[in-house]
Amino acid sequence: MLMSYAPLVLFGSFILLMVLGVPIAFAIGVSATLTFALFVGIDQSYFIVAQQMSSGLDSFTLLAIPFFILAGNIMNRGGIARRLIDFAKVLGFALPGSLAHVNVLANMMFGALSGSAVASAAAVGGVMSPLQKKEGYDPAYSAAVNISSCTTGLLIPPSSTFIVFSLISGGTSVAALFVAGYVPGILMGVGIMIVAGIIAKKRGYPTQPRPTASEFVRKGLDALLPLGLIVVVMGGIIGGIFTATEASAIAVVYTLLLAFVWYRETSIKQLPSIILESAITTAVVLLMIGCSIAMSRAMAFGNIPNMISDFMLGLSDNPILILLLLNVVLLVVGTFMDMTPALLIFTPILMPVVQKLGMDPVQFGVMMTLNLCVGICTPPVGSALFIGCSVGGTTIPKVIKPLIPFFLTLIAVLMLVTYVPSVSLGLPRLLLGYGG
Amino acid sequence: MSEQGKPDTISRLVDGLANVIDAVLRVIIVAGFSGMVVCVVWQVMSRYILRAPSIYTDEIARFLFIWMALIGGAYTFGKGRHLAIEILAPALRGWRKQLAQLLVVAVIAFFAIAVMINGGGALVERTLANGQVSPALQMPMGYIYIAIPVSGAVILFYCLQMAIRLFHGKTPVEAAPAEAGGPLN
Repeated sequence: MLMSYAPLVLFGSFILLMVLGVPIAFAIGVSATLTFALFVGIDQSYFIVAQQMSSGLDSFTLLAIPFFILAGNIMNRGGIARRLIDFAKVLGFALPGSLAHVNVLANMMFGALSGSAVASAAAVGGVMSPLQKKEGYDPAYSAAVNISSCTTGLLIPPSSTFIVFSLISGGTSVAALFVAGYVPGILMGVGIMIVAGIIAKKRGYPTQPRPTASEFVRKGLDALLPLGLIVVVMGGIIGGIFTATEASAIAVVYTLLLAFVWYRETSIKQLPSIILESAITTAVVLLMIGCSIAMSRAMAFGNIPNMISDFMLGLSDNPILILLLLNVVLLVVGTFMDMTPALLIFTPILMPVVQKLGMDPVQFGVMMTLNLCVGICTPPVGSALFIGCSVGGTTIPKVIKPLIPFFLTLIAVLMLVTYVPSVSLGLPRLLLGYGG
Repeated sequence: MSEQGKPDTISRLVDGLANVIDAVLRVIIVAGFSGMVVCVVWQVMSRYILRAPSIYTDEIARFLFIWMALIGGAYTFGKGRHLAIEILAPALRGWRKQLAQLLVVAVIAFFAIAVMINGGGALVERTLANGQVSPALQMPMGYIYIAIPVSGAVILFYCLQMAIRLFHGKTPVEAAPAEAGGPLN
């Protein structure tokens, strides 16, 4: 009868360890070990967790994570952000508050390339904030635009978050997830630009002078090479030329050539330290993944996901209400928990609920990611919020109020993704013949 | 408690050893990572340019990856870079804070000893005993899994170093974690 304590042991020990300050990966690993011990005894549970860790990490798909991170880190140093910002400037000159629009457009491009909202907020916001301040923009407004729009890069592919989701959800197609991210990601960006434009018009923020035709062509050509990476990676994946992992390795070679052979703004001597930094970022994620695989097995042993799904489905007969509830839960989780652990812990728990409601795993992956994107913009724990305030020269209390209209925009897109399947699934059906 | 600026012999020994281990791990990580990139790029090239797909690259890349993930995980732990939620520690002062930090180190040491060294060791033993080999390379899978107890041993060593630092009234790791941002966002 020890087994009936499984949910208590699993969640109890996990929360206790996290509050104590144990790194999340180890907290997950220890609580999985204790839960397994209820079923198979403590000695055998050590063995099972070690085995789950090794089999969880033995995945060719996962290799894409370090490769995309490395490609992103090479790009961060190679003067690529500057070129994309220059290109965004000639695109968004005519809109009211044009510098804010430039910020959004550059975030969409650089975020997609680097796969990191935080890196994008730092690189793009770091350049754009001083420019906007000089033109009389309120720093809190500029920071709010930067913070909310940097998350678009997590939806617009390639995106490592989708690779983590693919693995933990039991092998959802990475290609389908990548393609499914386009429409929601672009909708987020466009929505933020509309709101930013309305506010800018009210406040009378200026437009920029019209660029000459030759300037337009020159800036466009400058951005062509960095953006070509997206064409190679996504074209290769959609065309079935290579897998997502192979595409990510090609992305590394592409960025290496671009940064060290073509632009030469950084020295090749820095490469080992860039690799080491990428390996550290990767290792944080991978240890968490290894332990999460063990935890999701422990949950399955204890029948926990089914219990939670029965409970949630028992709350209401109305699927619309249950989906709304799911979103609220995820939004709350996202405010205090970082994206990757939230994804790793809550995907196995919530997957049975949405499957019983008939939601496609790809749609669920996009919904979950978008939810957690809002989470990284909110206090108390929000990495995009922190970095956006620090590069924007403003503080968290000041930025909350200007952020609200942008939050509402993101939530509107979230509702579209939740209730209109074709927003996420339309493009993969069209381009990949995805069957979901 | 030793005097400030004059660490005792054990601390010096452990810190010195930690520097050596750090350096060795860095070399393994950077070399392993580079090897992975080369493998996967070669896989694409051999398929499209040489028209003779390599059967080994998939396995080599995956095995390098497991080693890099686990050795990298240990190194990252030594640098204090694993993601934690800071709720309790910032609210505590003095000996209570030290005690909480010591408990965290103890929990991690338990995981390293029990699961990674003990459980991982058993996994290596059993896999070697039943003679399981990888399909393409014919490599005994037990050798791949050695990464788990090795990583556990390194983590345990860092735990020891952190515990000694805490006893001397220092922070567990030299520098505070570099950035507030989590991985992948």
